[in-house]
Order: sequence, then structure tokens, then C-alpha cells
Amino acid sequence: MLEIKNVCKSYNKTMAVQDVSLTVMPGEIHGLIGENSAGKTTLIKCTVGIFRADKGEILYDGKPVYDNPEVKEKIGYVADYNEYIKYYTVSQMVYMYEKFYPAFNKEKFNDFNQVFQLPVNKRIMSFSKGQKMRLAFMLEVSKEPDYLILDEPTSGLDPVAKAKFFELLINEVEQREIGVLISSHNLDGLEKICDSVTMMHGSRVERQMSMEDMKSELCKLNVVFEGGAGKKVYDLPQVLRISNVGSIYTMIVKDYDEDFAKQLKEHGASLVEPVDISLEELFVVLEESKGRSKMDSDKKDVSAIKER
Amino acid sequence: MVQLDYKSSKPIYEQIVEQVKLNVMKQYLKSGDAIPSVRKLALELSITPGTVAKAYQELERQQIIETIRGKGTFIAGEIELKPDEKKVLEIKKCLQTELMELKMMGYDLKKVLKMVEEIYEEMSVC
Repeated sequence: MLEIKNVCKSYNKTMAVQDVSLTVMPGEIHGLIGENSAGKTTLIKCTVGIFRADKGEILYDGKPVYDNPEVKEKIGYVADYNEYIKYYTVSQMVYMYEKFYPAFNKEKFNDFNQVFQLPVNKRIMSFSKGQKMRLAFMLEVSKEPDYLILDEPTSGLDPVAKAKFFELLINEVEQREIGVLISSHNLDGLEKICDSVTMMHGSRVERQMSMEDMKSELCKLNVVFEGGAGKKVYDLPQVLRISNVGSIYTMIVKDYDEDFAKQLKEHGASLVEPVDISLEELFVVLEESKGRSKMDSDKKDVSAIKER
Repeated sequence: MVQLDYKSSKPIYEQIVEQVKLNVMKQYLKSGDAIPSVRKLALELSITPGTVAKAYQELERQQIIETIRGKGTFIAGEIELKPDEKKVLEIKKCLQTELMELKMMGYDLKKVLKMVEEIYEEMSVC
């Protein structure tokens, strides 16, 4: 089990990660999401032992990760931006990995390259971003780690490579029961592989739950108001977003239940139908509603000042 | 194996359960056939693995599928045909409302039975 316990990390005086805890179990895929500069990459760099956390612990089966080569061997890490020795070819890089990591599985690397098709005799400096990403993923997985930490691994990959990446990743998880921590803005992709998610906001954990629970937090509804929806419907506190095409309204609501459906019907809805909401939509609406409530409180602050 | 209707109000996990059962009934899936793992099906259908896991748990509870550790998930060897009393009552209740609708449209017992026969045959013929 890979444990991140109450980790804090700051750069000079800027807090990048504050009191974050999460656990990745073997065979589990844990997603890390959040807006830009939420602290995801910093947290990941602490997790793999590049940064020393200011406070808190990172433990691999109870053993600290920082400055512990024995443990680090068991953790694969694909960074958001991967650099290798420029003048090396892929084969030379593989040779180096073989020397560094006794568990390195060259056959696996070659199998993967059947899929990803990197020119093994070309220098890495001539590679594109996507090719470097493929290389990093192949090298790190071939180390046969127990945990794989991936920072935005689909950036730069073309759609075909992306699909193959997900396929290979879940194969590894299923066959070798590795645990995965993956950060990504590709929420469609995460949605179909993650068991649980941590959502970060402003260097803290905002939500942490199973993907199922996350998805049931908000509900998307198709509602028909034949005479159009009145202002009262727009003002219902549960409604976070509402739009319409003719008399068909699509709304995103929180705390949806039978009572709320009844309430809508009292306001003139002739049909209320819950439909599946995507993680992407959910994330956007949650972020927006947060912005809105912040604006509301700012307004209150302003009016409070005026009153004074 | 499974086609989801994302617009339907029926929960996705129920849709999976239903369609696997239908496939088994039509004998498109026979006992011993391997079905995709939880993660593979989730990837294929673009849904959360948790949802697929929930559906598979239900199918396992009903002994339609079985999971063999390290090997995968398969359609169960012998599918027992035993009626679940509670479920039967539930279905009866559903039928009641539907039948009433048909009766209101002037369907008599003969016509209704013919319709039932048609649906039943559709399900069992492969």
C-alpha cells in the first residue's frame, strides 16, 4: 500500500500542497484531478521522492520513500515532461535501465514497442513530445514496479496511442495487481479507468471518494416544461445549471431525490428524467458553483463594508 | 456484448445485468464463455469500473456468471432456473399496470397472450 499522510510542501512562502492524505492500494487506480496549479504535480513529485515533504509522510508498505533507493525501484514514475540523455538512442537508454534496475524486463519493453513503434536506433533528441511520453511509459512499466505514478500521461499522445495506453495500463493493473496514481485533465479517460478520485483545489483536497459516489453527487435531469419554466424553477437552490431547447430543459442539480422531482412537477414539469452525467461535466459545474459561491461571499463582504 | 442507452433513466448497472441475462437466454453466451473483465468492459463502454463491478456482483449473486481468480470471469456452468418469489411479485405488479393499458386500448386476453407468446419466442430462439 502506498500512503500519503498529511503532506505539506511549500516553495519559499507559497504553499503548494497543504495537508493532503491519500492511499493507493494494489490493484487500484486512483485519479488525481484539479485545476491548473492546484498542487497535483508537486504532490506527485513528493510521492516519488523527488521533493522532500515539509511535513507528513510518504510510505510504501510502511517504509519511507524519500532517499530510499530500495523502495524507489518499486515505484514507476512518468513525469509530465520527460527528459532523457539527448544523444542516446532508445536501445542505449534501455541498456542503461537494465543496468540500473535488475527487475527490468526487456521482453516486455519489446512487446510494448510492437504497439508503440518507436524507432530504437534513433537519438532521443529527435523525438516529439508524444514519442518521449511513449518512451517514458514503456521504460517505467518495464521496470515491473509495484506502483505506477503517472503525471498527465496522455498529454501529447494521439488518439490511437491514447487508447492503446489505457489498454496496456489496465492490462498491467489486472495481471500484476499494481497500484496506480494518475493525474490528468483528460477526464473522459479517467472516468473509465479510475476506482477512486481525489479532487484538489487551491493546494488542498477538496473531495476524495470512489468514482461511483463522485458521480452520484450531482444529477443531470431532462425535464419538460410545456409552458416554459418559470423564474421559480431557476431560483431553486438545488439547481446549479439550467438550459433549454424549446420546452426541454437540461438541468444539473445537487441532492436529487423523489421530493425534488415532485417539487418540479408542482412547478409544471410534465416529465422528469435523470440521465448519466460525465465526470467532465461534473467537474466543470462543481468548479463553477464554487466560483459563484465565492463571488456571493465577496459581495457580502463588500456590502458588509459598506454598512460599516 | 452490451449496448448501453445513456439517455435511459434506467441505471447503467441494471442495463448491463439485463443485457447479459438476455444474451444468456438467447444462448449467444453459453456456459463457460469468457466475458470481459470489469476494467476491460468499463473501458469499452466508457463507464466507471465501479459500475461494471456492481453489475457483475449482481450477476454473480444470481449465479449467472462466476469469477475464477487469476483466470477471469465466465458464464456460470449451470444456470439454475429457480423463481425468486419476491421478484415474481414485483413483475406481477408491473404486468398489472401494463395490462391495464392494453385493456384500455381494447386488447382482449387472446390478443394479449399472442403478444406474450411473440415476445417469449423472440427471447428463446437463437
